[in-house]
Amino acid sequence: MNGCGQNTGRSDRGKWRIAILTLILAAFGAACGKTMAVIADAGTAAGVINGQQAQSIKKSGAAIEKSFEDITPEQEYYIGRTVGAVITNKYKVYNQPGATDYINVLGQTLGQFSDMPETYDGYHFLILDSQEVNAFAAPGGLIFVTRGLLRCCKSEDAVAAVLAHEIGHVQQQHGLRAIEKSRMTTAVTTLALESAKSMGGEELASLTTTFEGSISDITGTLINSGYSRSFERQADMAAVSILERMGYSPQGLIGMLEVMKTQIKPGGPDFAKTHPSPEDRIAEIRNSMQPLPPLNNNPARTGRFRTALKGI
Amino acid sequence: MRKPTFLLPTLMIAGFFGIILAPVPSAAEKVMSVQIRRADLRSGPSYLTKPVARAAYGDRLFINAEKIPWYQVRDPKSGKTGWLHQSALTPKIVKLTAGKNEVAPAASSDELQLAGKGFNQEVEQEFKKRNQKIRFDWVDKMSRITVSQKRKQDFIQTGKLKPQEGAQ
Repeated sequence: MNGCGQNTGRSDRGKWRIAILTLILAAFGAACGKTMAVIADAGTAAGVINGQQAQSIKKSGAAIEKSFEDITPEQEYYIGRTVGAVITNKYKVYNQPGATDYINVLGQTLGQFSDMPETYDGYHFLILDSQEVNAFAAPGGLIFVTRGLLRCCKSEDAVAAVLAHEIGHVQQQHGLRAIEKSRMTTAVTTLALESAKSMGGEELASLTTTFEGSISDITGTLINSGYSRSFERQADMAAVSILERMGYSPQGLIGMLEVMKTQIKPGGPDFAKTHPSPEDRIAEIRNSMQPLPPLNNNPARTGRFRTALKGI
Repeated sequence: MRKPTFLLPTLMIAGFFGIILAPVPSAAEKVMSVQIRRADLRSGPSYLTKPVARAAYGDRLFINAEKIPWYQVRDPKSGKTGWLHQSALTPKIVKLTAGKNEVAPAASSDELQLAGKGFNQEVEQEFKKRNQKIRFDWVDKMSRITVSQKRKQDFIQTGKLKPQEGAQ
């Protein structure tokens, strides 16, 4: 028995050794499989592989499917800033502190009721001194609305509806989705590289060219072609939800669209060109909710709306 | 005889896994990163509660509890606890600086995002050099307009608005 037992013991020990070795190998395998870049990191640090080899490991690792979702909120912020700069370069800003303050208090409060109350640097609003009936949402939360559009708003609830619709575009990242797919692939490949700080002048130049292209894709869509009908519907639905959460009636959105029907000229350069017709949008909003709560324009809101936007 | 023979390898395996798994937070210790520039941690899961601490972009925070869309987080650096809206957080690790000669783990974008990577301030500077007619003055000005929580609440109150319960 003893002999048999000893034999069994040796055999057991052998099995355990194999089992432990297998586990060690499996653990190493798992660690190695996690990311090739870690190997590239460690390998470079240890001097096992050179930087160039590490780069190629990195690039092949980066060749995984990418989408606009890979754009970080920080990058979205930088894209949004430049989109905003292009818009304020094309349009004159309506520099009236009372009106600007009013739409910022209203807009930033509405933002808190959205599904995305936090963006990298928050929501900020500006009025454009233009007769066009239009509004633009740059990625990250810079929102622009024209005097022409504010004139279509006959109440605070209507202004809230306009701003909530634009917040809807931001929260659903419609701006980023306007970047052409092919450019996005180039952008993401470049973005997958290390910090631009460690890039040479050539790489920075190439990245900036991709950046410029992305900006013109977005501004081209915002200013010239407009979003798809489904994006506009999504933004309207987001607006309805934001308005209801904050206590406004979504009737404000319908009221604003009713006024817009009479203001915009078919084939005109603004909302008419970049948005579905107000009639269609009204029908879709009405279909989405039954019954629609009544519009309740409180005199307190009417008073501050008239005071703030009297010059509009 | 068999018992100690069995016990020893069991302990070895337990020890082995202990060493391997020790640095990995357990499922109970979920960790998330701040993905916005500044985040105010609040005393409760609502903007109506007081800010109790501030976290910065990239800070790694432990998740104590969740009440979607809010997370109760704990900052391991200060030991402070507070609530953050989910839109301020990402499950990814936000790596703040990639060293000059450091190789960035680019393949793991599902787990990691590099701050200052790609479209960043340096790219904006380069864009400005190339497009000198495009001014950023108004973008800078509007970015500075920040409305305090008190003003937001006053605005709701004086406008006789009745927000939905728990929507803020």
